[in-house]
Amino acid sequence: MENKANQFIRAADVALDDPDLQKAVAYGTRLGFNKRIAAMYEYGEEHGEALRQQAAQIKRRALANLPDLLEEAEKNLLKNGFKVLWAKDAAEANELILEIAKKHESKLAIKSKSMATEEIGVNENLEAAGVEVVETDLGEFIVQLAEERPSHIVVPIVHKTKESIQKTLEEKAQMPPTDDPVEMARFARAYMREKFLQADLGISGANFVIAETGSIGLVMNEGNGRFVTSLPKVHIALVGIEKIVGTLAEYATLTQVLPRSATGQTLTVYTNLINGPKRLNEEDGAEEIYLIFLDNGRSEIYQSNYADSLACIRCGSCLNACPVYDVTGGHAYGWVYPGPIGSVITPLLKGLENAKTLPYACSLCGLCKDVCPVDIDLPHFLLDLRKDIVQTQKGNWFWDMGISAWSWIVRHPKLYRFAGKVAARVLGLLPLKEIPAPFNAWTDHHTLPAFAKKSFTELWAEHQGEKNG
Amino acid sequence: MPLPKRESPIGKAVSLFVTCMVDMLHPETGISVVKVLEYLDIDVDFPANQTCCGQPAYNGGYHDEAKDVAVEFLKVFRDAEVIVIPSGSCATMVRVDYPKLFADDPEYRAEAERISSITWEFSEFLVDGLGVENLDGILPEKQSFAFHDSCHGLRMMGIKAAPRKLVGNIEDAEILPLDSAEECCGFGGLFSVKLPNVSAAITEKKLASIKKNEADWILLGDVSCMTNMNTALEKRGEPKCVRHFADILAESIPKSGAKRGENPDGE
Amino acid sequence: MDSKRAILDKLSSTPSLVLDSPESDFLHVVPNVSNNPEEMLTRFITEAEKLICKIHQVTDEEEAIEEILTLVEGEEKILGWSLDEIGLPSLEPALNAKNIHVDTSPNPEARYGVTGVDAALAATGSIILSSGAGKPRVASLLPLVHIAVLRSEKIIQDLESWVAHQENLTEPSNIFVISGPSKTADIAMELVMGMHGPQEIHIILIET
Repeated sequence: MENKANQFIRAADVALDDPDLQKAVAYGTRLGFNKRIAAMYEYGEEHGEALRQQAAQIKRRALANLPDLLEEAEKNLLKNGFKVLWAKDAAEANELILEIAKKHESKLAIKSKSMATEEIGVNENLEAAGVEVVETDLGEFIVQLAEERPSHIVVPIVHKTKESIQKTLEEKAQMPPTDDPVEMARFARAYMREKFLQADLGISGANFVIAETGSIGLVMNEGNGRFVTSLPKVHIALVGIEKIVGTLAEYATLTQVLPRSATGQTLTVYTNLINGPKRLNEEDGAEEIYLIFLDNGRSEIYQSNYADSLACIRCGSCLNACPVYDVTGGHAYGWVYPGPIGSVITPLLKGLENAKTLPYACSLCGLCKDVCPVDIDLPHFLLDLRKDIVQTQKGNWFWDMGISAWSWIVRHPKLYRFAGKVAARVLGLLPLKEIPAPFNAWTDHHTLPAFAKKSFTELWAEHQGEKNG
Repeated sequence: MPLPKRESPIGKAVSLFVTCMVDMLHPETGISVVKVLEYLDIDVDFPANQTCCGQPAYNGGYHDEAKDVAVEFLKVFRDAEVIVIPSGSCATMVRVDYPKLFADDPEYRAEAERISSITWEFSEFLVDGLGVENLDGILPEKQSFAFHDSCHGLRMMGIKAAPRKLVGNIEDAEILPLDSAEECCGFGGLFSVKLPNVSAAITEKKLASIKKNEADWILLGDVSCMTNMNTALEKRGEPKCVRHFADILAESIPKSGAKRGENPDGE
Repeated sequence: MDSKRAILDKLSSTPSLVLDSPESDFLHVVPNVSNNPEEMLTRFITEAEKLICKIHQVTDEEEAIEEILTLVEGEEKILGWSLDEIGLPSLEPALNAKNIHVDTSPNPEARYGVTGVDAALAATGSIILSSGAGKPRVASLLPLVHIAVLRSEKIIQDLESWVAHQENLTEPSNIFVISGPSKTADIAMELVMGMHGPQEIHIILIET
């Protein structure tokens, strides 16, 4: 997907001016936020916190042993009949997928929701080679019809109102007019049935790869994922290398914590373990399954002080908690992953210079860390990224100078007090209407605070005088 | 990184770090803090030459500049036994972030950790440090208050119950809930001027929640959030209804300067 | 160098900055689920009903077959596991008597699918189906209504217990833990029951 992260401020302005988006996103994220609390703390505060710690430890264990677990996983996956491929970057992943499609003469690919496939732009790549690609998750289907991008990791069209969804379905898929979500869903079901039954290639991601057993785990609600991974003869699963978990028991924890965090469910409707292509005695299932381990910048993150961000299980809780995401929606972030996690991994995966604003698109409220089911210290990473940006990126001269000046003033107390006195005299006299950019950044939305005639230092001296006098 | 353990501050002299925003914008809040501490018979010192904790630079990614400023703080407070700060975000900077900032600095690491280990936010100093939840205070008239929990104080230092206990125990003070209490006000320091429209949209939601609330005043422990909300209210022509809880505490104790337990007329 | 080697070498080249976590006491996500059969049965029913499963409690196979016949009355073709796998040998003649034929291939016209259940989880009201000979996946996927025949002795406490008892986990190519009918909330967060998978689940619960 094209990266427009550096256009965050402009894109955010567009979102801020869109009342439909504002309403839809606020509603969706608040619902998600509240559902997470109810589900994670269903058995009490202590138990919920203990679960977070357990999930956090499981992911850290897996990451600490990542190279060994990847080898173990490959060994067991191969034993189970998977074909295992490795892609160092998006280009290689796309090449591998094209080769597979060519080899099997695939004509119609059905996809279940996968952020990794968004990351590498699988759809465009296959379509360019003449393969029809149909997104089968309802949200992704609508996104595809509307020629948009998903705006949330878990709820792709959280930014859309019912009316706009209806319009898209009527105009782009010839749905008979209806504003009833049930009828819209039934229409999508019927439309998709045909594709499910005709498709010769299924493409999915995976939520977990279990090293111990050589299995992949998927969590789904609609059932399209089951079609994608059962009906077509060939199934490709694209998985980030960080999705490894060591044991089946650890998987049991994560596959329950993920839905509790993401949607407030105890389990998703379909919690699916895929152990390989169909066995000889089985009636149905894919005949060949290709698992592609995707690096695409993750090994670099692994070697950096941001390695912990690879613990993310893509639950979307941080998006639902973030006050910034709440008012900008996901598209403003400009790339695949929005919200706090997106602000951390987009600069890491795409280069700091290509996502300079994202780490600053944060009021440092800290709620993202509190809600993260694997306890990633996102605020700390955002601060560190800001440090990295200041130290390596040019073009910040305005702020560089400003901070230098400020630093000089506050390290010289007499100068500091003098500046305070000047501000007290002068600020009140400024004609608010004519404040030029960029200083109007404050005054567009606030009055200027009044500097006190007597600073605390002076009041203290008076107070001491009163006490002693 | 676990925080350095704090010893009991009981019986020790308190050095006040009033914070740059209180110093320049709301010095009366600093005086409120002093009055409450003196009411509790605590020796209060105000080390001269204090300015800022360095948080604006730190949050902006300017770690070198933040360190320079923090070094001055360390010097100013080198003789302090206990530091009290009437701001959740500044207290966080000193208590939580100074050890991180100086973690790899052989010259200042030990001192940064010492300073961290003696630093308290004002409400947690009273309630957790001194064990004082009730100032035996009384307001001139019945008033109702709802609390906003400033993000840094809440999430980095666990400050939520302490200010509510202190104000709740004042006679004629009623605490009402604010449904958005734990939601960010949108200030975020430089965030408010780097991404002003996004910041303002977040503040707008906060103000809408405040408008619906029936309390007479909205209280908090951070003058930065307070300034953000009050100047936004003022821009809309609405009353500035957000106050620092220290001012309410000061209003509830005798004006004569009598200490707690003494005759309020100061005899 | 091939990509696998390149990736693994990178990962191994510096000591990981992620701190290894020792294992501590392993918590079940749903705590304290009783393993008493009666309590598990009650819990299973409560949880399954929360997920909008319809539970038909029966005491023997005859009753089970009656419930199934009532549900599929009027149908010509239904999908299903083989009768061995469903575990109701008398089901076939009963269906035949009503001219109802069980299809094991993916017939998109069939509105009902009848399967057995390999295990069920009390903690979450889930039923576990695995693929295998005579157990086509489509039976629990394609039709509008999924009828699952569950013997109460198959109910265990929770996913953690199920995992602990798996000896030949990877024998079937696919295992589905099914918790309720398919659904979506993608349209303006409004919950719609029944998306691509079945819209209804009927669990014929034979108390053994």
